[in-house]
Amino acid sequence: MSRTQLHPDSRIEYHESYFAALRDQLPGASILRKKAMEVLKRDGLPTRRTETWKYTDLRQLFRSEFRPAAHNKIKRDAFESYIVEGSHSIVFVDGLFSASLSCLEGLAGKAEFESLAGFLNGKDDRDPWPSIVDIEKAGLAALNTLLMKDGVVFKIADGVSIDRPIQFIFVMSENSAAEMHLRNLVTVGLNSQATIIQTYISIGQSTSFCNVVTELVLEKDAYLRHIIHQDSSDSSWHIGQVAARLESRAHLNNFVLSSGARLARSEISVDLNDNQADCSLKGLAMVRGRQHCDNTTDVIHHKSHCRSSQSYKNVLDDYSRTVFQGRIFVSPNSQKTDAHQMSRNLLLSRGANADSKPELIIHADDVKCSHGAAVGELDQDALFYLKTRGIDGPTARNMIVHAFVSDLLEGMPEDHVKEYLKRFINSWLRDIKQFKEVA
Amino acid sequence: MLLINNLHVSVQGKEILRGVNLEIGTGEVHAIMGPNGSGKSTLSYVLSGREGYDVTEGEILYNGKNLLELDIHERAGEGLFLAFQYPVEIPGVSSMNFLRTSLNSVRGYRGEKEVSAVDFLKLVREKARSLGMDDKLLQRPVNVGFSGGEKKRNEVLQMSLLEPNLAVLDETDSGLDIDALKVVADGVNALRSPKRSTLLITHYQRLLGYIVPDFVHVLAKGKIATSGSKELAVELEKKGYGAFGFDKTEAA
Repeated sequence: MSRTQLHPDSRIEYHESYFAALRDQLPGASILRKKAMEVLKRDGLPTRRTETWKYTDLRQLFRSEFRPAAHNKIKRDAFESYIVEGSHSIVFVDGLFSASLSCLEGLAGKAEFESLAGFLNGKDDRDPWPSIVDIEKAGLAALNTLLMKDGVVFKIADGVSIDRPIQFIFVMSENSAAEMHLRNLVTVGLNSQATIIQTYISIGQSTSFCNVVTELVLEKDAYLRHIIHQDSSDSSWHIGQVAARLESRAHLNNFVLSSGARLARSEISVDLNDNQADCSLKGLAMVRGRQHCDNTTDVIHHKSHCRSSQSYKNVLDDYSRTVFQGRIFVSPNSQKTDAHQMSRNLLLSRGANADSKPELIIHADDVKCSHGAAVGELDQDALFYLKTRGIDGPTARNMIVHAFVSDLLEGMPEDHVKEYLKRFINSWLRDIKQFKEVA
Repeated sequence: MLLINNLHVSVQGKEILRGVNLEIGTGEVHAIMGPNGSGKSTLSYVLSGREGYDVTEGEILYNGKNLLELDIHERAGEGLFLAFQYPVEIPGVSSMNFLRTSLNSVRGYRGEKEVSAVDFLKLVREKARSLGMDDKLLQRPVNVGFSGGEKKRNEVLQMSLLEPNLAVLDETDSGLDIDALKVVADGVNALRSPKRSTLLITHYQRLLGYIVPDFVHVLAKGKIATSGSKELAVELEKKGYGAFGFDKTEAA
C-alpha cells in the first residue's frame, strides 16, 4: 500500500468533524444520523478490498477537498436544454432546493411535493419515515444519511395517473466544488402511474461531489418509469444509489443514461416484495477520456411469480473504464421467478477497459434465470461494407454504435422523454473524436 | 475507365498479386477467372480500398485519377461499386436507413440533391420488385436473416440504386441456385450501358452464360496469365485449369 494513501478511517474523522460543524444546519432526523455515524465508525468507508467496490476506487475522491456551496444565482435558460418538454420540474442548485426555478403546477390532488429540508425539520425523536435503504451495506448510504441536507419528497396519491413527466433537476453551478448529500423519497400509490426523471448536470466545469440516495416505494399495481440522466462535468464525482421496494403487481421501469463525471457509480437495489412484481432495469454508459462509470445492481426476488430483467450496455472510448456488477438473488419462496441479466460493452479504443461481474444466487428450484456478458470492438467488416457504399467513416461508425445502443430504447413510448434521451445519446456520438481506425 | 499497371500487392508481408496489368474500357464487360487462391478477391479488395492490402508497386488509374489515393467512401462516390462475395450482416442498422444513407452520401459526393423519404421509398420498392425481392426483407436489419440468394439480390439492389460507372462483382454467382442466378444476372444486365463497365470475378463459367463478357482473363499465381474472348471461358470450363498449365488450387 502506498504511503500517501489516505486511510478511510481518517476520512471518517473528517466527516465526523464536518458533521459536528454542520450539525445546526442539518434538518432533523437525529436518530437516523446517529445510527449512521455508528455504522461509519464500525465499518468505515468502502475500499477496493470491499467486495462490491473491487473495481471502483474512491481514494481520489476521499483525497479531494470540497467547500460549501455559495448561493449561486442561476437562470432557467442556463439549463434549458436539459428540461424535458412538457414536464413538471423540481430544481436544485448545488444541492439546495430552488423554488423560483421549479415549476410544479397542476399536480394538486395527484401528488404532494416537499423539499427534504422542510420535511425533516423538527422530526427528531423518531425515524421520520420507514427507510428502505440498507445503510449497513458497503457504500456511501450511511454517509448520505449522516449528512443529508436536501432532496425531493414526492408522494403520489392512490389511483392517479400523472401524464406529464416529473423531472428532478440537480444543477451544479459553474466552478462549484460542493459536497452534496441528497436524499429523495418517492412513493407511488396503489394503482397509480407516473414517469420520473432525475437529471444531474453541471453548468461549465465543476469539481463537486454528489452523493445521492433515492428511495422508491411502489405500492400494489403501481407503475413507475424512472429515468436517471447523469451528465455532470467530467471533473465531478457522482455516487448515486436507488433503493426500490415493489409490492404485488407493481412495475418499475428504470433506465440510467450515464455520460458525465470523472467517476460515477449508479447502484440500484430492488426488492420484489410481493407476488408478480416486475422490474426492468436498463443502463447505458457512454464514456471517454479517463472517465470511470460503474453500474451495480441487486435484484432480490422475495416472492413467487416475479419478473426481473437487466440490460446494461457501455460504449467506451479513449482510456475510459466501465464496471457492471449485476446480482440476482432468488429466495426459497420465489418459485416461478423469471430473472434475466445481460451486459454488453463496445470498445472504441484499445485503451478502454470494461469489467463485468454477474452474480446469481438461486435458492428456489422452479425458476428461469439467465445472465450473459460480452465485450467487443467495432465490427471492421461492417464498417468496410458501409464505407464501400459511399458512407464516410465517422457516419459509418456512428451507425454501428447507434445500432449497438438503440435496442435499449425499444419498447419505450414515443414521447418527449424518449426524444430527450435520444438527443443526448446522439450528441455524445457526434462528439466522438475524428475517426480512429482500431489498429 | 480503369487502368491497372504492374500491380503488386502483399497481405501481411506475403505477395499475392505479382504484377497485374489490366485495362477496362468504358462500356466493356470483363471477366477474371482463375483457380482458388490466385488472387481474384485480393484484386477486388484492393480496388475497393480495404485495409491490410499493401500495394508495394504499380498503380491503378480510374478515370485518370489515382484510385489508391481515394478513401473507400470516395471511391464509391466516384462510381466504383463492389458487390461482395460474402455480404456483411449488420445487426441493428435498418436496411432502409442504410440504403437511404448510402444513396444520399453518394449523391452528396456527386453534388446532387438528396432524395426525399417519399421518393426514396418509391424508388427502392420499384427496384426491389424488379429483382423479385420481398419488401419485408427491407424491414430487417442489413442482411440479417437473409438467405444466400437474398443477400446477393440485396447487393444487386444496392448497385442499381447507386448506378456505378464500374461495378466489380466478386463471385456473385456463388451460392445461388439457377433461378436466383438468372434474376441477379438480369439485374446486372439491366445496368449494362455504353457508359458503364463491369468486372466479373468468378471461378466458374456458369455466370458468364448469363452475363456475356467482352473479354476474359485468367489470373494465376498473381498475374494475368492469358486473356481472350468469351470463348476462353468455355474452353477453360471444358478442359479445366489444369489443361492450361495452372494448378487447380494454388496455395494462397
